[in-house]
Amino acid sequence: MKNIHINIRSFMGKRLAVVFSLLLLSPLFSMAQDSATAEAAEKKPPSLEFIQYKNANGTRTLKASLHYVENKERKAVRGAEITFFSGADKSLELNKVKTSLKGEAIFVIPVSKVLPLDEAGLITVGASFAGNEKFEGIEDQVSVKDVNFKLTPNGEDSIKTITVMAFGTNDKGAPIPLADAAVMLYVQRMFSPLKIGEGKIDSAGVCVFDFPAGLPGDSAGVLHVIARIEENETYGNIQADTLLKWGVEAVHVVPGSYKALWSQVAPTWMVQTLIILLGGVWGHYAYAVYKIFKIRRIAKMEEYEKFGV
Amino acid sequence: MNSDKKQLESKLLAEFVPRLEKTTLSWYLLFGFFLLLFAFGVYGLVTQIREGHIVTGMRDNVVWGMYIVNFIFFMGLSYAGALVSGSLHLFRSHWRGPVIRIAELVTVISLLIGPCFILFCIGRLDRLHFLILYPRIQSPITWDVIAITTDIFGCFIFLYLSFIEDFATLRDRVNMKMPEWRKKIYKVLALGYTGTPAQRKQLVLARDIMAGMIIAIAVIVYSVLAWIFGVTLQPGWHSTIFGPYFVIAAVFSGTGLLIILMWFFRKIYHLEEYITRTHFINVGVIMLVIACFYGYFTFSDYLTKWYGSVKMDKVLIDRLFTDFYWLFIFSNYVGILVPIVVVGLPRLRTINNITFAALIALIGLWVNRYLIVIPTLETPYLPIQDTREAWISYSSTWVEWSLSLAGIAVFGILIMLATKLVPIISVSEMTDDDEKYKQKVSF
Repeated sequence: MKNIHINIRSFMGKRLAVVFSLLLLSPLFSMAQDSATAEAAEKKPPSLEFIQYKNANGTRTLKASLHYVENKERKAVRGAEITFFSGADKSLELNKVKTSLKGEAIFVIPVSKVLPLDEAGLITVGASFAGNEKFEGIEDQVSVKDVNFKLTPNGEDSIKTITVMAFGTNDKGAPIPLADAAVMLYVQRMFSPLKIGEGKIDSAGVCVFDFPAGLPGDSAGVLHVIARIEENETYGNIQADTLLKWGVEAVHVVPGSYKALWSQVAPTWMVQTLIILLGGVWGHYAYAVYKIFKIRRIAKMEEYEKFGV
Repeated sequence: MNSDKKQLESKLLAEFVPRLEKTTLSWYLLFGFFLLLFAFGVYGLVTQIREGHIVTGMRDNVVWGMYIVNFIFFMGLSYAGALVSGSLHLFRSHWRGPVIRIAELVTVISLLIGPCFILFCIGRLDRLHFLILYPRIQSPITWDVIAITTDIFGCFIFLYLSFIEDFATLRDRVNMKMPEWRKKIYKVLALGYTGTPAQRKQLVLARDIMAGMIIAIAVIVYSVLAWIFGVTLQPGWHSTIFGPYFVIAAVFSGTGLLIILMWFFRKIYHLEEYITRTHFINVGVIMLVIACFYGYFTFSDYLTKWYGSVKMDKVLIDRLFTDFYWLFIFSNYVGILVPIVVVGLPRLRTINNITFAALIALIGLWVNRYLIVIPTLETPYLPIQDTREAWISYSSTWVEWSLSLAGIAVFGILIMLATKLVPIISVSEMTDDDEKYKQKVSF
């Protein structure tokens, strides 16, 4: 390194060497400054958004979103390790998942996993981030009662209906209806669910929705129907879904002049362009090669004129 | 040819022919070193073929790695060589003599090495012939296959045309101490050229046509390469200016390599008399102008992406300024500013300074290609939650490095072999009579 420095100085002159070296080394100074600043700076406090919902198939989905604010802008914390746990005292570690580029970590608890209950019969699930060199640690958890939630389609009559049943359990383990709990009915669209009904569970633990006719489905008329109880104080988020062939079959018309490059046949303009380009280029090549042969032929002719052979 | 030119030709031949006749120990040592690097690459390739692409850093998310970076880099060097040599010839630059052959060799040799990296990257080489058997004109990959094939043929024709006069000169030289088979090669390749006006007219016309063609082809082919990225809906790639941006980057890297090779050959062959400071400044000024354009294109590309705030473009730029911060700074700040400062300030314009700036630019441009390929593939539009950690992040392996070094070694080997076939400075270009050209050739 020393030798290189001496060489540079020898062909630049002292003052210019200093200026030039500073220019080259400026990123290093900046790096040193940055690292010093980073050490001195306090860790940033991130925000953790944790939601969980029970699915009708018995699984439970846990989702944690980790963000921080920089320059008044909300940014995702990428690659942070999120620990999902259960139990008020975090007695059961469920899994560790790294956050995606959007700062999200998702874990689905399988049916086979038995979650611990506290004295009040509540299930506690949560997510924690231990922190790292840039961010402080943070955690969030929710305690909910377990619930049986079911969605049943009734499509035999001319009017189609969806029946949603929701039951919790009392201290003795007997089912009790989730009376007065608000239920939402959705169909999944391309980007997000579309709400098509809202009701309340009655004293029998049932809520019936009339299903609207004429909803566009996929090419087979299939709709993805979702029923949810959202942010219930006791039971948290609960979801049940099913696929029903109750929609109108979507017909995708491909226009005659479809301008996609992945069509079976290349567009005419492209073929024409290629022929013109290749014809022009290879034509010139052929002419140049012809000139090469001509040089040889001239040489032979000159030889013949000179020596007569 | 006037007496001055005759004298110069004799002097050049007296200087260069012994180098064609004799091979020094240092030549063998350097050649052996390159062969060792090449053997290391072969070992890496055998390992890759035997164990599969798992030995590379490429995975499901990052399916392109160093091989594609090297492919773009070598192809860029080739196109730059074509642009520089074609332009110098076509415009009859009076200072072209000592540098044009180096540019021509860079063109062809880089063009032979670049596509090999594509072969290293392909998982199913047994299906390679499908590209020829079942081409889809709509596919940019097909465009690239056609374009590179066309370019290889064109560059070889141009190189051969530029060699003919020197082959003839060497054929006619008596008492050359070399095996008969080599003399026969010169005789066959010289095509009976004796420099008669009729032959000269044909040769000049063919060379001018091919010089024009390789300039056009260089622009088209490197644009096609850029469009492989540009027509793809990936963050950072889907850009309308990628074609000209790639062409400018190619010329920038090519002028850098040309300066470095000029420096090497000047040192090794003691060509101080022929390759002077003026040549370095002239090529350096081309590099300076191109550096300004390149900086402008780079800024324009990233500014519009950043201002557009398309979600994944923004994520990508955030990553470039965090995870790839130092590479980004080196490539797009240091790599551009150093050549501008060194060549821009007259007091800094020494041969070593310009070569140093060219080296910085060349490394910066390799890093630039890395930053175009890898971060984008690590930032896909589709979520990559729940895929394996190793699939999301790319990290090059020794196998990829071994083949990359082998690429450099093959470049060195072929340049060294070429200098054993013809003088590294074109005798015909040095003794060329431009006025005579103008009289003989009329379009």
